[in-house]
Parts: sequence; structure tokens; C-alpha cells
Amino acid sequence: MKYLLIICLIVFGQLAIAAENTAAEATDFAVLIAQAEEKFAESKTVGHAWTVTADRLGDARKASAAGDMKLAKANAKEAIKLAELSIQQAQVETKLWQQRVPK
Amino acid sequence: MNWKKLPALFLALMLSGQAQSDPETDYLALQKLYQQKFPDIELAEFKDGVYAIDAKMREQWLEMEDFPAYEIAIDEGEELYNTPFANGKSYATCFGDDPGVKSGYPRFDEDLGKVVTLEVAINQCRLDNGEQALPWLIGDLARISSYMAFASRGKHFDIKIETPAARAAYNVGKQFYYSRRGQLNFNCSGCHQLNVGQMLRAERTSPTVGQATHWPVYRGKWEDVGTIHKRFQECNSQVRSLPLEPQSDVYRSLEYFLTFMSNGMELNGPGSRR
Repeated sequence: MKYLLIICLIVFGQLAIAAENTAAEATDFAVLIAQAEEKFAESKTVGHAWTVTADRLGDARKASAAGDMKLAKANAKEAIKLAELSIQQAQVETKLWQQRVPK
Repeated sequence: MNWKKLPALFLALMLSGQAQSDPETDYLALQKLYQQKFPDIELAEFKDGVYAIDAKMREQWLEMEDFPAYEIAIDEGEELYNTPFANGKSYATCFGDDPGVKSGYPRFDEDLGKVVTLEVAINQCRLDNGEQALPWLIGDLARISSYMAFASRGKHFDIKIETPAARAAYNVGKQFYYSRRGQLNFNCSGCHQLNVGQMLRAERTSPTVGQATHWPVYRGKWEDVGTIHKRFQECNSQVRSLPLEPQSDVYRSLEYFLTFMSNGMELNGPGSRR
């Protein structure tokens, strides 16, 4: 009886930790996907949004819906990186495009 | 703050960040570029696009032109053009007796403060007469536009850029054409000016001059005639840039710039491409 009680406590403890981790991962993902969407919107505003950013955002949402939070977060992070690069491209091109006009 | 001055301020801000060469100077510089790259080809021949450059591709294209796939679209477009609206009026009410008006499009509408393409004018005509607007890319609008392009054959582009606002719109299109975009970091001019005539996978890149003369176009992969804005979207997607909405202000400006670069050239639309 004593051992059974100990085993139950251990299992309950593990379940509680797993639930906490899942909740934390969901919170992390919510923050990441919000960041990714914000950056993507910014890249659209400056007229240099990339298709691959939209793809990664879609992949992140799909993975989240399927409960694969690790993959969901990885895709959201990738979307943020891609959106940042496209915004950088817009900033650089504001200056560089004029050099390509035939004289 | 005088809010009435906002549009002028916005325009001035836009112009301050852009190259201020005038459209005519751009036009002459571009002609010089192609004359240097292709000294044996008359500029007027670029109305045939890449087929002015590549003899073998031209041969295949001329064979396609014997029984062009766009012919059905012209016939259907003519029928649509001549079918009266529910209010008894027709496209002729908007465009006059001669449907061959493409040589004057796109034009800058000072009242709207926007570039008006032929497709926008067609849909505006429909809306003004109580009809629904048609989808921009393929379908009935492209067919009506094909018929009007066919009726415009033999005329020459006469695109006007006469006011600061029109010049600002032209510059938006020009900036778009020369800016790298998409994950592949391509710009229109990279393919169509710097590397014009080179192979890009299985296709040879066409010159900027003459790119506007032959639209709408029947493309094998579309299995239909489509408007130039469909091609803009496709080009953007190919370099992994998120396409803009068809007939958005920027795409209209791009068409304005591109068509001005074909000014004086003979219209030969609709066209067929692989």
C-alpha cells in the first residue's frame, strides 16, 4: 500500500510537470507567432514581403494545431528571421535601386 | 497643421527619395542600352519581345501565330464587348465607336490621382452602368481586353506623363522595376536589362522595351489569355516575393512605367507565349 502511494505520487508529479511544460510551450508559441505575424505585416507595409515567410507562418500554425509545439516554434522562429531579412532588403533597396537605372 | 496640404507633402516626400531623372531621359537611356547590346536589331522589332532576339524561338512562335490560341478569346471578347448592359448602354458608351483605344493606356487620371489601366477602365465602365466588376487576371475581362488590343493593332503607344503627380506614379513603377525583391533577391531589370537575352532555365529573357506591346497574352501554362498583372504576380512569385493585388496602385504604376518604355512602339496584342 505504501509503495502504491509513492508510485501514484510520482506519476501525478510527472503529469503535473508535463502539463506545465505544455502550457509553457503554448505560451512561448503564442509569443513567437505574434512576433512573426507582426514582422510579416511590417514586411508587407514596406512592400517586400516574401512568400516563404507566409509559408513558414502557415507551417507553424499547422504544427501547433497538430500539437507539435517544438516544430511550431521552430517554424515561427524561421518566419521571424525571414521577415526581418525581407525588411532589411527593403531598407537596402531604398538606396540601391537608383544605381541600376541605365544612364 | 494644414491637412489640405497633406497630399502635396506626401508627394514631395515620395519624390525626395527617388531618382529625379525625367521619363524621357530614362526612355532614351534604355533605348541606347538595347542598341548597344543588340546593334543588329531595330528597336521597333522589340515589339515581338524575345522573338526579336532568338531566331529559333521566333520560328516556333511564328508557327504558333498561324493558328493562334488567343483567336477564340478575341471572338468571345468581341461578343462580350457588343452585348448591351442591362441599362441598354454598352462599352461603346464609354470608349466610343472605335474599341481600339489601347494605345492611350495606361493613363494618369488627375482627378482620381491614380493610374488607370485599360482593364480598370473596362471595369469602371461596367460599374458606371450598373454591372458587376469582372475578375482582373483571366476570364471575360481578359477577353474583352484581348478584343480591344486586337482592334488597336497597328497603332503606336502614346503614353503621356505630363504632371508632377503622373511623374510620381511613374517613379513608383520605376522604383519597383529596379528594386531587388523576394528571397531570391531578383529585380526585373536584372533579367530584362542586365542579363537580357540570356537563358533563365528554359526561357530566354526579353527586353524591357516592347514588353507592354502584346498584352493580354495566351500562355500555354495558363491555358487561357491573361492580363499583364497576372504576369507581374507570376514573376514576383517566381523570386519568392509575395505578389501584390492585381490593379493595386503599385502594379498600375509598374504598368505605367513599363508601357512608357514602349512608347511609340506598334501594338501587336493579344500575343501568345509558351
